[in-house]
Amino acid sequence: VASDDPPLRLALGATGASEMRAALTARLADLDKWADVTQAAGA
Amino acid sequence: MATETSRVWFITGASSGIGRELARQALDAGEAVAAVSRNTAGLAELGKPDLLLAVDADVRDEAAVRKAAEAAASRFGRIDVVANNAGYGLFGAVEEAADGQARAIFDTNVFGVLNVLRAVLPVLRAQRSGHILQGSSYFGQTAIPGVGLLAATKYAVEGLSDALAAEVAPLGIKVTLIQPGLVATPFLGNLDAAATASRTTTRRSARPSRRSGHCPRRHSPASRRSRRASAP
Repeated sequence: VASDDPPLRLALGATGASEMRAALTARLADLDKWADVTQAAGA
Repeated sequence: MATETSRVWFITGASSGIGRELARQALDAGEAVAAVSRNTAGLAELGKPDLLLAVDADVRDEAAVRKAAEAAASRFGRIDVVANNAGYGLFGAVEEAADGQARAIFDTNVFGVLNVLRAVLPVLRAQRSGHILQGSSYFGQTAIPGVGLLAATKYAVEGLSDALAAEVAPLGIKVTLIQPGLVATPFLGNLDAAATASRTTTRRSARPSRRSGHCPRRHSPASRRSRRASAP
């Protein structure tokens, strides 16, 4: 709270941070893998 | 009244866990704390009575939370940091959660958070300053078997906080989602039992291991109890 530019999200603890990184990476991988279907669906 | 340089904290779920530790550290640093809890009996142990305002309020009670915020602003003159921390966890397979359990955890973890926001934002908006710490969890970004309902509430808090941060930024108000992993708090030690469905497919327990402090990775809904704990 002392920062002038605090983060929107702050992970606390190495275990949780690695779990979140894995989950977010998997989410991005799905987005990439199915990009053709995503694009074909239009706007 | 707080000094010009020290901060004023408004902390919910202040009687235990992360909330209590935040209150203790703030008081030790000479900052003022409005500590809100359903059970304020043990808060006096934190000392610094000149800097501590203990307020009995349940975050599910909008009127009580509003009165708590008004009391804090009245006592200390402003609110600088809001730790929107009160909440609990419910452990058990999604299928096992009874309707009442599902609604109850949303009442506290989501609608309680909203009650706090509605109570403090008029104060922060008038000041054109403030920092809101939204109590989330790493289950606000990912979920594993046994934490579906807890994660659902934290995902909700994450979504509303994304919007909130953009809405209040022009007013000089900051928002940070706090995403703890499992930490050494009464989260695992203060478990309540709740009845759950028995039509399950495995006999593994869904409860987190008290020894390891981690939830099991395998889906394990066979426990006849889902588990409830004060949330990080």
